Amino acid sequence: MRTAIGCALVGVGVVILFTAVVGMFRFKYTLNRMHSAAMADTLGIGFIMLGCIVLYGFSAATGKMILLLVFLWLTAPISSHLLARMDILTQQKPGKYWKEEKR
Amino acid sequence: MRTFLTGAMIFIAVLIAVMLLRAFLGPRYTDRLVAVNLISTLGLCEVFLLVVLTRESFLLDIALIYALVSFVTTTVLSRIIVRREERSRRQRAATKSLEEEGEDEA
Repeated sequence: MRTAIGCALVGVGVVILFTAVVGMFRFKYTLNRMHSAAMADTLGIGFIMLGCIVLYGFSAATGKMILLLVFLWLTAPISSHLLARMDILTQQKPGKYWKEEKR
Repeated sequence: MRTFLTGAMIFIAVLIAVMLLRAFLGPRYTDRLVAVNLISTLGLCEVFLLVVLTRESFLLDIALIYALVSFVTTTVLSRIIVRREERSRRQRAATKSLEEEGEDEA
């Protein structure tokens, strides 16, 4: 039973990672791509970590995994904020994103 | 369970290869950086699955160092690039004001 639940959680995480990679290829601009990369950063790795915790069983390693997950969830928004600021500051043509929406 | 986890690890490895292609193709450097961030996330997933497969919990320390390094990479690169951009903007503004003064005198 525990194995089935853990495998299902890992499977859901892998599907979410696959969706993020597909989104990286289907979107055109950096900010759109960051939108799909953030999904893998939070939800995909969260599901895989939950599945690993269920499969591994409760021990000291579980606490370490939860700490790692908290660290990732704290740092992923910061790094994506920095990336977005970098992209907008060094943009050659301002307003590129809005022009595309009008069409 | 072992076959399922091995299959998941192989699938994630294929995803990492595909993301390397994305990092190679990306037109702007920020696209490449986003792709590299996603590659580090996928690598972390691989390490977690490896922890469950081999029952070796010391691999989690390696995962922690990996997450730290990927965060520091983004932070340092963004700091360098934003500083450079601000300096070049200041120089451009300075040269523009100098040109305007010259036009006034003429």
